[in-house]
Amino acid sequence: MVEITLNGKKVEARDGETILDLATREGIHIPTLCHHPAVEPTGACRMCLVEFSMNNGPKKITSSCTLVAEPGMVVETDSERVHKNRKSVLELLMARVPGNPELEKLAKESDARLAPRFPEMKEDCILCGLCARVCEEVVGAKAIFFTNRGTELDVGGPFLESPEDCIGCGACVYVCPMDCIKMEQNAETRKIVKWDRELPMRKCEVCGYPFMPNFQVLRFKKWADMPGDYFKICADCRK
Amino acid sequence: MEKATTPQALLQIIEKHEKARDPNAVRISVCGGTGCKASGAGPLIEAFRKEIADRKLDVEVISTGCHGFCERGPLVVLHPSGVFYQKVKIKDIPEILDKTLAKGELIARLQYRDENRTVYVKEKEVPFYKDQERIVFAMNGHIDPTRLDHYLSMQGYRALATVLGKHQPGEIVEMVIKSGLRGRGGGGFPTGLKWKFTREAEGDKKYLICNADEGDPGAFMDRSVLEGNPHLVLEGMIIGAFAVGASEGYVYVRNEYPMAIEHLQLAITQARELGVLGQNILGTGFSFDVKINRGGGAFVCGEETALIASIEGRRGMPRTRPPFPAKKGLWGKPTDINNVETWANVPYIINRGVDWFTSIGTGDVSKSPFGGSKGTKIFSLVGKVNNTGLVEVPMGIPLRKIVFDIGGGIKNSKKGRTFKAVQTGGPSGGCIPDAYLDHPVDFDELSKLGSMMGSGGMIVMDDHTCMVEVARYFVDFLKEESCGKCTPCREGLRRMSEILNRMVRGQGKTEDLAVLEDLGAVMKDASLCQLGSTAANPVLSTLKYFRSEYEHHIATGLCDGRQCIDLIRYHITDACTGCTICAKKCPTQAITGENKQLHKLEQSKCVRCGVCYDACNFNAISILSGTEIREKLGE
Repeated sequence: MVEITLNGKKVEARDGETILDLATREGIHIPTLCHHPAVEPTGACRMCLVEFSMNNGPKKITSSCTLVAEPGMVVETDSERVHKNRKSVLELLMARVPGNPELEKLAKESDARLAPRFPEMKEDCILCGLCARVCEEVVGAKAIFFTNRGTELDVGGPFLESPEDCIGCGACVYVCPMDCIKMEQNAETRKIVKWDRELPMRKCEVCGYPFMPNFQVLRFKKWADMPGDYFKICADCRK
Repeated sequence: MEKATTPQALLQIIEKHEKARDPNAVRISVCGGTGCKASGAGPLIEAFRKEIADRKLDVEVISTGCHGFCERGPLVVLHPSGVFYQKVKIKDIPEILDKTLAKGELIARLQYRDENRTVYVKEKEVPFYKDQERIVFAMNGHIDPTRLDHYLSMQGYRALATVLGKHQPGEIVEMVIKSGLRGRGGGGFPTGLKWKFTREAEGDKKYLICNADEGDPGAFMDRSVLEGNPHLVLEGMIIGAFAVGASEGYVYVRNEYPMAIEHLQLAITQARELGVLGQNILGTGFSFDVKINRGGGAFVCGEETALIASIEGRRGMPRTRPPFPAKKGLWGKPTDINNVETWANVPYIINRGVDWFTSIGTGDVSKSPFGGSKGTKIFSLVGKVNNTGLVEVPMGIPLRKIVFDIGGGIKNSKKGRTFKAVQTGGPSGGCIPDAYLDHPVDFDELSKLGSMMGSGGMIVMDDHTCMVEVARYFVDFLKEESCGKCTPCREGLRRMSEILNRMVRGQGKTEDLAVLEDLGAVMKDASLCQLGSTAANPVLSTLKYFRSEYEHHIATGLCDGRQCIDLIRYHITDACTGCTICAKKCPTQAITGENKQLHKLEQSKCVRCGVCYDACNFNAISILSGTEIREKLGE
């Protein structure tokens, strides 16, 4: 256990616990966008900023999702400097992705400008990279990733073409905080619209429901060394 | 080269080479650095060697590392007299041998003369060198970087022999802490403390990295150190590895530095043969080896966590610190990472002692290594100064001395050009105006002025520089070189770039200045790495010191530096003598006029390239901006 000062109160953090997790446990709300408990924190979106100092040293601003509690740490989640920076980050994100409900909700919560002072970009993605991290760390497909750099940074398959390693699992669709990765499905195919990846579906031999893309079955058999007929029926019928 | 199996044996080898070096021997040093090679030093060296062989003279021709005064290359120094020749060509060789070498006569046209036509005979008398304190560069100019025996003859590897023969790792760490040596790559973090943290960190394996990913536009000091004295950097790294307990090291060097890579690779091979690199170094049981990792030239990979990611084969994207590499670095193991110039200082600190090192520089580091800036720093002095090149100066030297004494003042000062600002610290540094030129140059003082030491870029700007354009240039550079991972840096730079590009076209708005300051504040505070948190410096420092220029751009479209082409007009005044030179040189035929008649400039054809302005010998072309355009041209 590690004792730190959080918003003026002495609290006990677990070994290796991040300030974001600790604050959440203590009932303190910190806004996040690129954070997800299933993947390693990355500190990209800069929404979860907090102010901290070590052993009465200079106060610095950093992302609470990456900041691990250490003895002698003093953390402020609610200071003026924290709010000012969070608001500026939100303004930049809202200029990039105008009219996004999630961003507007955060802006109202934090009293940030609803009308950014910059020309609108009409993008739908904030480049938090959560889709790529889930694809690599959880799914293991590594089908999508960051590409280019600087203001040209983008996310997608190799050369921004349809990713051949995408198994159509939809994990990226599920975690995207901007809800900008859409999945379309009918009886025959499933399509991840943002990546332009369309895969034929396998139908359950018992109930006939199209439960999984064929390509996903292939990869799962390879990764998990499953018997050949394991994926002939859907999970519901297997029970 | 014989192999040394004990520290004592290495000392004997060094002493043998030191004795073999005759300080009075006749030697010709020709700079073989990249700058001089670009001006023809390669064939010049070959020609010197051939001529000397043909004449059967007992003279050694040494192809040395960079001497620093690149714009005057190829440089030649005759030893032991120290006679200094510049811009030497192959056809000059017979004359140098006949006159200077044989009779001691000087050849006036090859000698350096300053703006006032004063002639300087010896290298160390030349103003460019006189106020320098060359420690890291001390051997450049004397040794052939491909020759281990040259390095050994100048105390090379003596520090390593001392360390492995007499000291415990902890003592070396203490010594480096006490020396006050701070990171030369930009951050200025005390090197000894980094070593201490790595040494104390838990890990079954530890790594050492030399950061040679020099990315600042116009900066080439790390390149010159690696090219001119690779063994010095290696020796520093081996001592560091012993101190922190590392067994494997990497030099991360740009692939654009082929000579640095070649010389370093050769030095690694030679060091292994000598027995100072590899398994069981000097029979002490300590093992350490070095690999070269060639970088693809991304500016952000100079940031330590991005560099580590790049070595690991991942995208060069920084991660948040803590954990610092000293705890969790390469492959998750404790890793000490220092800059080329930092490593090159280490052998000198061991050889000459902490007291000697702390006698150079500012502040008091006896209680804390943060107490001052010690030793020297190499700057890459470029821009509108008479003498450009690499300069090594003691910490604490006033900026004025670098610009006006070593740099020889502002170029074309006789034509009325005056000093406006000096930009230190590379693209993320700040612009410092005349009022602060007497400030000492050290880590803390430059930060106080809103700039930084950075890796040592120094760009001098004259009154024909537009500070808004300067800010725009650096912001656009960083916008492309940012990794794009975090919001403040990526989106902040994008918006700064939009505003500044608008402003230099005369489309700035009054509220832009407050927005720029807001963006600067969030980038500084909230960015993930140092690239982002310093990226606003060029904007914030010019807003601080040259705010009126921004205001002029917005209010009247006046560009004080007469640089923004949308805001200026070239205009031929009554002083025109009708010499026709401008009309002949104008690439778009915008200028017309008869011989000995006042010429005319057709604005609609003018692309504002400035060729006429530079060509005119009668000061008859003026550059109009702001309200002058309406007043003079009625536009």
